[in-house]
Amino acid sequence: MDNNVFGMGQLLTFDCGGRQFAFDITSVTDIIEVPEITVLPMVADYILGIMNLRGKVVPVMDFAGRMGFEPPEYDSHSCIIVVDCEGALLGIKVPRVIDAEAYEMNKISESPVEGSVITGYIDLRGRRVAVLDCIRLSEKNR
Amino acid sequence: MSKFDAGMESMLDTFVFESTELLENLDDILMRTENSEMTPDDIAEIFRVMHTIKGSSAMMGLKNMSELAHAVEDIYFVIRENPGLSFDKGTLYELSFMTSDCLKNEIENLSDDSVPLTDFTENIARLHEFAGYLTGLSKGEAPAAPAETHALFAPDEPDGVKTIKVTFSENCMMPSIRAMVLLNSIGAEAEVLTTIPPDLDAETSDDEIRAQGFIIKLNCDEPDKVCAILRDGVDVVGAEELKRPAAAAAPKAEPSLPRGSSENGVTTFLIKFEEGCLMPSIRAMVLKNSILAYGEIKRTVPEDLENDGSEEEIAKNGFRIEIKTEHAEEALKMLRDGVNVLSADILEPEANAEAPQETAAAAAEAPKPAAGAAPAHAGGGSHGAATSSLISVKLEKLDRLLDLVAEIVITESGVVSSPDLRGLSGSLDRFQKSARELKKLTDELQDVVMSIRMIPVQTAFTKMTRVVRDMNKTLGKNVELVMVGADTEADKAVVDILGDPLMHIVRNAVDHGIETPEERRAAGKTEKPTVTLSAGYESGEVVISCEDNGAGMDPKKLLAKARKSGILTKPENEYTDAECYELIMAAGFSTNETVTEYSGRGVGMDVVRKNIEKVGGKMSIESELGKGSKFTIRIPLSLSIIDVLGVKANGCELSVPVSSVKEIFRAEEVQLLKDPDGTELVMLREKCLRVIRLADAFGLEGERIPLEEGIMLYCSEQGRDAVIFADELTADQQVVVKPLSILLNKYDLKRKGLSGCSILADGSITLITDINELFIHNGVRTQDRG
Repeated sequence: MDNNVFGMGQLLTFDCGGRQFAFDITSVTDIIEVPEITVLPMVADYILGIMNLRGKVVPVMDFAGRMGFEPPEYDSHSCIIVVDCEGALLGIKVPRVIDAEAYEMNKISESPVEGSVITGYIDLRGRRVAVLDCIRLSEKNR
Repeated sequence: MSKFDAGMESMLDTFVFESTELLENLDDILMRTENSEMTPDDIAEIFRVMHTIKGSSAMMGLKNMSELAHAVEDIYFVIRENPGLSFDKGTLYELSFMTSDCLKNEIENLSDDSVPLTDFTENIARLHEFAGYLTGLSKGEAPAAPAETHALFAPDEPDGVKTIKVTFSENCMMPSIRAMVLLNSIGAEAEVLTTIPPDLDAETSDDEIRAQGFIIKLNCDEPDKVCAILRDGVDVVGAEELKRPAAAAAPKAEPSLPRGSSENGVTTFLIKFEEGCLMPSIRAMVLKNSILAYGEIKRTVPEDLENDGSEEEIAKNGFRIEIKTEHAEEALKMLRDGVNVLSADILEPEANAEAPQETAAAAAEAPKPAAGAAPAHAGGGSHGAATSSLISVKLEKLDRLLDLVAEIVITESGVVSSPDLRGLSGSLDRFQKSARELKKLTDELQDVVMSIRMIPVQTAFTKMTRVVRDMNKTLGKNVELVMVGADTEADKAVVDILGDPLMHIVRNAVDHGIETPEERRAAGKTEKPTVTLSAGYESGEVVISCEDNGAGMDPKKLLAKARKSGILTKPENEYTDAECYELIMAAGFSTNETVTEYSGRGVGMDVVRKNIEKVGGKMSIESELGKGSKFTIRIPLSLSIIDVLGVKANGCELSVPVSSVKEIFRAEEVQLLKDPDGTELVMLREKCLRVIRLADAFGLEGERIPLEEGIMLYCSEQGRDAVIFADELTADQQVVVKPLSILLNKYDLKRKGLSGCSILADGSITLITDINELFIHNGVRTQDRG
């Protein structure tokens, strides 16, 4: 619990087309199998639609599409990470979740790019992981 | 800067809710009694209302409201104490209504920091003036009590006569008034023979009572009961029976204060509050809560902080808390830091352990809350019992509960019809039986939760009595308001929305509908002018109607007027009577030439209709010239549940609200047209309508099927007509509308015609269209005006 005291946090890392990304675990509420997604018209291509998450209607975003990557391969390991964007839930479809990993907060090198969806980078056991800001990713305040 | 005490924000909702309810209650009583007699129960109730508002607004730090309520309380105090006093009733009602309005306004503006607190000084002055006038009257009329001997025990006094001595707290303002109240309150229990001082109206009586207490000689069977009543009185410190031989001994004036307990680890604190501290009992309660962090509270004196007597007791004797703690010093420090705390000390334990017990007993006997009104109430009806069985719950909590239940219902069907079960060999009889049972229970649960949100339309109706009363006063029409079926229940949101339209309709009925008394006489109408509000259910809708027996409407006049305003859309002779009446709901129509205070303020019936339609309701009008008019509003029972038609467009499931759809048809080839620019059109009974393909409107990719093969929905919304085209019709169902996620705000879907979505019983999601927005977004024009 008191990870913060020692400057420790946890990241949920996932893989997208060979690149690795992570959300701070405190913003993640669910990791679920890809459910039936109802297509929503008139929205950006990377908004896959809306899904029913235990009675709540939650929009689903394709992570690769949002980042402008080549469409990755989705298989039975693909899943949806549900993040809480200041009260509003957002589902993010990713090819594969890796793990929840502890990290030292001060080891993150902050990204110098202002307003980027990536807040910083961290090396976790030899892998370079980009840490995401889910609010910016959700385009909530646009 | 907030208007009320910091730290009281959390209480705001409760305060607003309770005060509003109290004020509604007040209006109720005033309205009911204005033309009849005020019973003592009513007076006591008004007194209680004002007293409570005074207290709670003082607690919130709203001094202006508190003072205003206090001024009214004073007036009713005089009235209550002087039954039979005849006074200017008109002024009393005027003042009471004025106060009620002032307080209501103030409460409404509470959360709005931009509106400053209103200064009620003038109103208070008027109230004080009236109170002074009343007091003057009561002094003049109150019969002088017979002068009697001052000797405490006359030698020839019969044995049955009891003597009771009442002591008032030191800072009691007018003990003689209090004494008078006490005499009245024991009237039912005992026959008062004489009192000392004998004449409570005498100037000196106050001092006399302060000096020696108030002594009552009476005939009664249960002196203990009388003493208990007396002790309940405001500002009363003690009341006890004096025995003849014991008279020599000095009576114990006050219950002795408890000493610190000698029990191990228990510390007793004595807290004194500053003199100007409003409502010390509330402060004490706050301290009591915060001290919980330091240890277990054993006892407090006074015990019941919510009761009226506790105020005085704390002000006089301070507030004591006994806690079992090992951090007495820290606790003490915390107590000293409390708001308005003058001093806080630890009391040293004393040998005499009996004393606390004694006071505890006294405290237990201490007055119950609202002692003045409670007994009257219990006698008057079941109200006392009813309030205790009610709790107020935040609406958000209910909504959450409703959501949860919906989730349970969906999950349940997921479990019961799980595909995994199909693979199971063997009988599932017992499983099926339990599943049925579960289904029954969840259905019931859903019904119950839905019913919690239902409230009677009474709330909306009652407000109308006030409207009619005020209008009667100014217009002199003497209209009677009759309510039928006020106990009909509807979703709270529906009832809340009903208020404004209803007010408008009732105002119209009284102002325009009902004739002046002269006109009525001329027309030979003998019956009393009435406006009847009725409510009931009809096929899943709440039907509310407002009917008057006034002049009715003349279709010809309406037509002429509409022609003048230029709002006719077809030749005059084509208008049926019903259509003529509907004209008054069209924008830009107003029948009354003269603008009065009550109608013609630019907000017409068109706004009323719009508001009702916004929540899925419909409004219709019937009228008969010379007999009266009837306005009927139909609103769905629950706002969030709407009837929709499920359609498919290029594989996408969409729902169209039934309320927007006029007609469903399949187009024949001969009906179809194409504008040179490619716009698809359809002829429907001499009407040429635009065809909007849902797939195109929502940018759904796929094959464009020929118009003859799909389904046409003729929709009409606010003067815009067009045909919506979809591939097929899939369902006709009721759905619970949920808004789309705020994360999708940037796509502005609502403006493009998607108002929300809904989860169907099988867990799938359907998108709900907003035909009106869809029409606007796709440039469907409103019909040309002639």
